[in-house]
Amino acid sequence: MPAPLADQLTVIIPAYNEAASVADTVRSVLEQTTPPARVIVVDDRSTDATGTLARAAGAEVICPPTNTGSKAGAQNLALDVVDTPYCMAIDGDTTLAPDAIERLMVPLADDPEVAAACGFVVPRHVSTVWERGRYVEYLLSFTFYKPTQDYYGNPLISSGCFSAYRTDRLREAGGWSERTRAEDMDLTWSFYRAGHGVRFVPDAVCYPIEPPDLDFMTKQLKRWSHGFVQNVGLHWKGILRLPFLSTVVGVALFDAVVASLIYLLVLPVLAVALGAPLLLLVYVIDVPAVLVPVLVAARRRREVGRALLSLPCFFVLRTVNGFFMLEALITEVVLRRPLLVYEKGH
Amino acid sequence: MNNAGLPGTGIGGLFYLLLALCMPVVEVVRTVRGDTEPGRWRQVLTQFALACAILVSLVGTAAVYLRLVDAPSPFGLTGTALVLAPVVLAALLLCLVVVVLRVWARLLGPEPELRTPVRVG
Repeated sequence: MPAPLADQLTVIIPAYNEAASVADTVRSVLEQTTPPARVIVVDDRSTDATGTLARAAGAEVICPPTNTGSKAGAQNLALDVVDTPYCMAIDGDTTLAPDAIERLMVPLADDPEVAAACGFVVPRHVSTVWERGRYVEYLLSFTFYKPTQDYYGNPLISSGCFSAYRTDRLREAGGWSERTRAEDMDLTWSFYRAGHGVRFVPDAVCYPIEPPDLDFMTKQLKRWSHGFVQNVGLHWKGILRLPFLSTVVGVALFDAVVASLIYLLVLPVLAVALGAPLLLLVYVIDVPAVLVPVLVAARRRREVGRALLSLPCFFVLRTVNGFFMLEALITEVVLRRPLLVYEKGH
Repeated sequence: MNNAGLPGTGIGGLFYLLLALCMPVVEVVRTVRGDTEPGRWRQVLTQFALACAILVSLVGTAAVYLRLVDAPSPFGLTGTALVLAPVVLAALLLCLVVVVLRVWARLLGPEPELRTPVRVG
């Protein structure tokens, strides 16, 4: 493995009312096998003890005069004071595996064309329906879809909860943009359009806290669905020239629309109209196909029992997800009412 | 579902399945051209094996579903033909989407200026 670049790295942690988790996040960064040069927590005018706890855990804390209104705003504030060639964004509720930074920096060290690298995401708590659904979703996505995207050169998103960047490339892109509700997707696609590379590193693992209930999940899914639609609207002309990325985005959009219509309208209507309740089995017809990559990932993590127990929740989450995708398409494209408010999912 | 946070029917999954099944061929071409990278064959074989296992599970599921549900016989199709028909149709539809995207890209003019993001803070 090449020499890690962690000593040339600044970690940025945007935080708003993260008193329950920010100290764990800071400690998990400082206790890395290759600790970074700086850890900056942006306390975005929290009303709890986020800043105090982050400082006590060993981070530098900066605080804007007023709440920036978004994660991107808080991250940009820290980007202005970064003086290292590399920087990293980690959510205030996300902890890292002990060697996560060392592993994530490898593609940046190996290839000067790589502008960003992202890692494998696993929910830290897996107990509610929503956390379990997300757990299976991540195992599936990060075991089968993302490595395939990476092989063909275009991971769809360098996840905002844990990604490393070349600081100069990030500044050239204008930092994290606030023009969409999915700043990580926007930045990733902007990198591709500028001719830079993004890599996925499956061995670099992070553990965010996922929305534990429907209320928080609603906020997150709404933000992600609207963010996806906004990014397609913003970038579609530019990414059409990137063969693999445009195909992946086109297929994802097509599939998301078709899926939402099938789950929410076609299946229930057909089952009732034809008097064929067994048609509803189509909701779970891909259980074995989903199980294959999920069990492979779970076996590596020695969590096969947890994965099997969580599997039904994935199908609940998928159906709920369909509702929010339709809502986003109708609101953004038909009604022309873009989502402008950044509400964190948890 | 083909990305976390986005719903999907399986058409997207089928796309990734085809991509993963093509990986060994693509890697051979890359290797012949001198484009090698340590650990990439391992990645290729892992994804290929996953894709094969998913394919087997899909065929098995379809067979069980057809036995379980009193499936109709549209256009006189039954058994294996009935299972393969939607898969082939979905693959064709997928190819059509990809071809349309490619043609569209060729018809477009030069890359539009990327608007500089608004900075706050």
